[in-house]
Order: sequence, then structure tokens, then C-alpha cells
Amino acid sequence: MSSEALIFEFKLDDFDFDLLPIANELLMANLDLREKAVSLYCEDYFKRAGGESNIKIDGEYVTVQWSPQSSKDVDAAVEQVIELLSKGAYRQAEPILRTLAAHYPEHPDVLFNYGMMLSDQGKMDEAIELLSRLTAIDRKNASAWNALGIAYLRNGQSDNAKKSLKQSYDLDPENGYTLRNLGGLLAKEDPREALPFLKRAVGLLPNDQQAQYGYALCLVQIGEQKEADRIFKKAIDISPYSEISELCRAERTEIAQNIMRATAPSGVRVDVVMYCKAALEKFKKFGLEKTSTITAEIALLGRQGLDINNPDKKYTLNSLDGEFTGLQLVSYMYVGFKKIAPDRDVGIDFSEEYNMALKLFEGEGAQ
Amino acid sequence: MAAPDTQKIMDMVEGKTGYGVSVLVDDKITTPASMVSARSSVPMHLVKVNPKYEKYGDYLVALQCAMLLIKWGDPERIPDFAIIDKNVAYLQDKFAKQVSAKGMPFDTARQYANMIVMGILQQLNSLPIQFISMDMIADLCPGLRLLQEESVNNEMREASAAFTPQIRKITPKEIFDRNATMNAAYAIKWSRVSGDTMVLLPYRSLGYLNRGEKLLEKYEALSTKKDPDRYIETVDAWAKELEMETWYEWHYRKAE
Repeated sequence: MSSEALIFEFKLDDFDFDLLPIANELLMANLDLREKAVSLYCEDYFKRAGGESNIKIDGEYVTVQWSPQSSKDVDAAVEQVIELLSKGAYRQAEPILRTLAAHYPEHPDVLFNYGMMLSDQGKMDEAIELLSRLTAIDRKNASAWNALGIAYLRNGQSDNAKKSLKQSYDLDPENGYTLRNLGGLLAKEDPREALPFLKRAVGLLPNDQQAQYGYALCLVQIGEQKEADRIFKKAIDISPYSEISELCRAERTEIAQNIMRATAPSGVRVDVVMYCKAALEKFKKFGLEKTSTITAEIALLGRQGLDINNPDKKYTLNSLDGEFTGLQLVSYMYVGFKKIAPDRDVGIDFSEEYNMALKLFEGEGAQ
Repeated sequence: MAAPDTQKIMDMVEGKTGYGVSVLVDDKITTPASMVSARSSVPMHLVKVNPKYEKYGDYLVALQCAMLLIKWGDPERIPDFAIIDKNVAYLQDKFAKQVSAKGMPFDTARQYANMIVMGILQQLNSLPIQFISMDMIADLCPGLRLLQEESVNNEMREASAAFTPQIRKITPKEIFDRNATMNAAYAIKWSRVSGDTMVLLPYRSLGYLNRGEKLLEKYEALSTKKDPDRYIETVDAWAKELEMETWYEWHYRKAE
């Protein structure tokens, strides 16, 4: 273990101010505050890593002199950099990783994380160089081959990517990330070949929304809609407020519609016509305010997903007595929005059924 | 499905109020999250999450649920913070003139004055209940601790933006001081919870820590009261300290 001090140097203005709980604009407008905040941050950061540190801010530059007391301190410093990377604080992680890589050019965790970071930043040549060095030093490191595969993929070198990912897979067939990435790569050419990899990946990475989403999309591609729907639902459960969840919701609506339409070869679902007609009658009786309440409640319930292909009456509303099927509620909602917000896209197309119901309803009224 | 701790507190809300919680992503709200309490015309509690703050979603939803539990502490007396229109209109007019005198076109000054007056009222209404909710979440939802840290640090960052010279220059002192005092109370509270002293730097440098400390003392003095009185009385105590008592009143309703 070298007891030599490591010097980390970076420009004060290159500091990743998003790490601080103080607004960038305020820090930019107040040099004293900027220096105090950065100094406090660095002091705390290196204190947590262990060893001894000394921070100097001299004009434009911040210099941290850090003396690790043991290899444990270096490992702790790497752990802290990983924490920075997980927050997306690349600008702050970069000088630390660069210095660590210069001092410890064969430290696997330093090479791995620095290479991954450069790959995420799109600095592909440097990333490939570092990750290749790592795979040369540690040929049995499946995660390193996986990271190298991703770097090749991002660099448009599909063949090298496939070779690296397969190498990773051969070394560790149970590495969920390798399976996910290899599956994703293969799915572009042949979803059926990709499917077993992606299926295994979601089993190993049950909380990885991207893996679940990729697997579900692959299932859609090969026509396994019901299973795809189940997996999309699982993906939403992992992180319900994310952009991927919104994509999953849209996919689920489309699948539900496809399944529903498949059971009506003529194109029109008679049951939907009857539900729409019933809704027209109810809403006429209730008036606009109660119609809005019922429609809003169904729309909110629908955020959790209404199963329109299950004939069981398994739903209830606070605003309307009775038990309902999913298809019945969606039909009511469709009619409700036609009354209160006709231009709103409700995500499902019952226009034919609605028009037929309207004719029946108006015909009965004329009699 | 939300994180287990978030789901737990959502279930508590349903158990306590008889209404379920529905979560929507809404890019039109100006705050990270907002909430509409259920009533017969809205038969579910509606929690809206701004997609900009999606990564803190589980914490934000839990926070709004905690607020519901506090407001519904006594279903016979659910408080609504109501602005006294006449008095607030007077203040908006007064501040619009002050801002305009600093060189801003009058229409823009009026819009700005409206925004800051409503903003400071929102802050008075929301920070005390947010403090109570944070304490509640620390007890009920330990799994949300990291997310809470990220979300509050982000809030601290956004709140400190009010100290930029441009905003200080244009904002009437009466509003600026109140805003900074309440934010200082929040920073002190968070600093005690998290052990992070950096959040105090902006408030220390501009001399608002003592004033923030006073608000926090008032909050702590009322902390053993039952809900919703703890919330109502803290708002009232802060309003007295900040001389905002005539800006709002409480309305109460029964659970329907």
C-alpha cells in the first residue's frame, strides 16, 4: 500500500454544484458561499473515505491532498465514487477516478467504474481502452466483459459487442445485466432468439424496470400479448411514476383493445354498445355534475388498470351503486367524457359502439 | 403499485378516511406534488405528482398521504386554509406598486406580486404540515429515508434560489423576509434530522437563522398537540410571528 499522498485538483467552477443543497444561481453569485460550500463538501467527502485530507481553494482551483492510511481507505474512496456516479455526478467523480486510475492503474474497481463512467459520457475510445485493459488483467470478470460489450454497442461495433457480451455470458450465465444486454442486442435481429435471455434476465433482476419493459416488448413482437401485458404491469409496479411506466400503460391499453377486438370479428362489440346505451340513460338521469364525478372516479381507478377482458364484476365505485366489469366501467367512462370533455383522448376507441348506442338511445327517446 | 412503505401509508389513509388514494402524474402543477382531499363530489383522494420530480415520487406521495392523515385527524373538523380575498387583493395591489416602482412594467409587476403573495401563503399553509408529515414518515416509512434526503435536498436547493441578487432586488422586503424566515426554519429542521450543516450556509450568511429558529421553537412547543390542532395552531403561531394573521382564515368541514 502506497502511503504517498494523492492530489485531486479541479477547477472550482467545474465542481458539480448539483450535489449541494444550495441553488446554483446563488452559488454563482456569491464566491464566498461557493468556496465555503465546496470546501465543506470535500471535507465531509474525504472524511468519510478515511485517511487524512487537506483542502485548499486558491483562486480558480480546488486542491485536495488525500493520504490514504490503508488499502481499505482506497476501497472506501472507490465506494464513495460509485455513490457519486449513482447520483449522476460525473463532473465530481471524474477528477477522483482520473487520479485514482493514475495511481492504481490495475485496480479493477477503479478501471471498471472509470470505464463505465466514460462510456456513459459517450467518451467511447477512452472507455473501450480502459475496459479492454481491465478484461486483459482480469479475464474472468464477467461484469467487465459486459461493460465492454455495452461500450462497443454504444460505439456502433455490434460484432465486438456481441463477442464481449457472449464472453460475459459464458463466464457467468446468471449475470442478469449481461442477459438483459445480450437479449436486447439479439432482439433487434431475432426476438425469438432473444427471448430466453430476456426471460432469464427478468427473473434475476425482478426490480429492473428496463429489463421488464424490454422483455415485455419482445413478447409483443412474437405475439404473446397476454404474457406481455402481465410483464408490463409488473414493470409499472416497480416505479409507477416513471416515463417507462407511462409507455407500459400505453402498451397495456393497446393490448387490451387488441384482445377485446379479437373477440368481435365483425369489429363491433355488442356488449360495449349496450353498456354505452346504459350509460347514456344513467347520465341523462343524473345530470352533468354527477356524470363528472362518476367519470372522474372511473378515470382514476383506471390509472391502476381496468381489466376489460375479464367478464367478472369485480369493481365498485363510491359514486355509483353496483358491481361492474372492467369493460362496463370503461364504456361508462367513454360516454362520460363524451358528455363532459368530448375532445379528450381517453386512450380507447369505442366510437363505433358509441355512435350505435347513441342512435338506439335517441331512437327510443323519439318513440 | 407504490413502494411498500408508501403503500402502507396509502392504506392507512383509506382506513382512516374511508376513501382510497389515487395517484396521477400531472405536468401542470407548479409544486413537486399536490393533493385534493376526497369529498362526495371527488370520491377519492387525489395525489398529483409533477413528472419533473418523478424520481422522488414514492416519498412525495407518502408525504401527501401523511398530510391527509393530519388533516383528517378529526373527521368532524377537517380544516381548509382559506385566503381572505379582500385583504390579499390589497396586499397584491400594494406589492405590485412597489415592484413596479423598481422599474418593472405594471402588468408584469402585478403578475409577480400576485404570484409571490399566493406563494408566501402557500408556504405558511404547507410548511408546518410538512414538518409534521416528515416526522410521521420518519416513524412510519423508514424505507423512504434516502428518497426523503434527496427530495428535501432538492427542495433546499430550490428554496435557496430566492437569495439570488436578482430576486432579492425585485422582491418586496416584507415578502422576502417572511419567505427566508420560513425557509430558514425548514433548513434548521432538516439540518437536525440529516446532520447536514451545509443547508444552513445561505441562511447564516444573510442572518435569518435566529428568525427561523423562533418558528421552529413554536412548532416544537405545539408538537404534542393532537391532529389537526397541531397543524392549525402552528400555522397560526407562525402567522402571528410573521404578521400574517389577517391574510387567511380557517374553514372547517365534516367528512362526507
